[in-house]
Amino acid sequence: MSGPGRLNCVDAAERAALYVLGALEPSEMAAVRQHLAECPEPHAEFAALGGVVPYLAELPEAVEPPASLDDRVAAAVEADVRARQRDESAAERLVSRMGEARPAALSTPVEPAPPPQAPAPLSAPSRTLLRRWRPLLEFAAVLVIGALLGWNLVLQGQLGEAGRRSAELREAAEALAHPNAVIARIAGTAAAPGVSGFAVLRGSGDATRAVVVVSGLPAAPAGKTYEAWYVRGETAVPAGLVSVGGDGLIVASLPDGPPPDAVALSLEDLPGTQVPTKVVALGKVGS
Amino acid sequence: MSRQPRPGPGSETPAPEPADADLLAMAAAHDATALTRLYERYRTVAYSLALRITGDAGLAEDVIQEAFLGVWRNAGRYAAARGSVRTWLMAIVHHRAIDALRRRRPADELPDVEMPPPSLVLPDIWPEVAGRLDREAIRAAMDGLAAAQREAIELAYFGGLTQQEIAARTGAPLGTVKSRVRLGLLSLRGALTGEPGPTTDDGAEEESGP
Repeated sequence: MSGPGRLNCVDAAERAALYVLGALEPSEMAAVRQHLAECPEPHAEFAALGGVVPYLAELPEAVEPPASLDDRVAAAVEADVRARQRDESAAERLVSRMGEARPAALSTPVEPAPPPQAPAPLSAPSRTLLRRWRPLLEFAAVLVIGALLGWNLVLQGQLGEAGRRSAELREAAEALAHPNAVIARIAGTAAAPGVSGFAVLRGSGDATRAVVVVSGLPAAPAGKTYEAWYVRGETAVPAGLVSVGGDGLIVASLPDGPPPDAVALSLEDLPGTQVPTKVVALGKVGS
Repeated sequence: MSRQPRPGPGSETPAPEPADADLLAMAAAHDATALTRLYERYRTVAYSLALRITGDAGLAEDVIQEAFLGVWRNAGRYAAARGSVRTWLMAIVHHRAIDALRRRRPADELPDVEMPPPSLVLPDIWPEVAGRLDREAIRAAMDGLAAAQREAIELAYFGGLTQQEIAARTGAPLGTVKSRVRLGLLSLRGALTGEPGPTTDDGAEEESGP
């Protein structure tokens, strides 16, 4: 026996009985495991001997476990279910933390705007679904942007604002079309269900900026404004005030900065704040 | 797989009951009720094994709780091709119990011996013999082994001892321990499947080896 060296087929077969019982020394267990993983031979002796082992589990005298064990197992599973729900998504945790911090700051609840007519997929923010349909959604987003661009071009020249929006939409369209586009899929929080959109990152390093397109938010009530945020770790940094245009969209190119982990929108009292008060939409980068 | 091996008298399940594999698939889809039903099916045989290995009711309960939590978390990793749900589940219980046993021993007595993970459990022979074997038949097969072979297998499987530890405990050379375990398992297989087993005369034991 030569310790944890490489085994040939004969060495491995010789160790089969002890192996299937888990009774080799650790280094030998590992060597056999490695041989089985790499060797193309069928090694029938492992199946022949190992097939007997499950029967040994039937040998002990039957002893009824205490009823308290049933409760312990059920409680352990329940605790695991709760933990799993808690960990569902870092972004959702963040939303709830930010949302619960100042629950009463907003006197007027945000009413969700009617869902946009086309294309529907983005208006139903089921995270799993969104993940699964990501390629399709990205294509759909490009189509929407194309349509919006056309619409905006009509208005261009009439309104300087429309010119700015067109430029930002074009920038978003170009960025989205890039195969390595980094996007954040934006969904409304509980305060503003039905909100959807995306942010696409441009630039790199400390000169990274997000171009944001969000639909489904109503115009901010009098005396209030929407504010954009870059979320990095657990810190939200103000990224400027944004407003809903006549087309029902928020379109904004946010300032340069280090790459964010998420992009958020909140509703604030004018003239805005340094800490988000009421998060209405959030998208995790890479989502 | 709809087979539900369930040896032992008085343990028949009514026909409409879902198969083990179906319950496991439901558990993998986060259905806690399905896990509870699997637990109810296996609680006694699982606890009995844990108790036999640990020899301690409290430790056995910890083992079962951890094992079923492991089943719950890893339900999606069960592969039917590698054996029955029963085998998979009992391998997890066995693994946890041996682990608990080894951890409780003084550190200088035992290194942290690794066990084959449940994923390496090899295809069992349940399909061949399920339904016509009960616990008594398995006991009879075990009793039919040469005493030294039975002892070596029990020290390994229920005692969590390694080849070297079995040799030290029984005073047998390492090579003898190896051949006792091998011949014992082969005889057991022969008895359970009806295939001719190996000869069990002691002369065959004195195989040279490491």
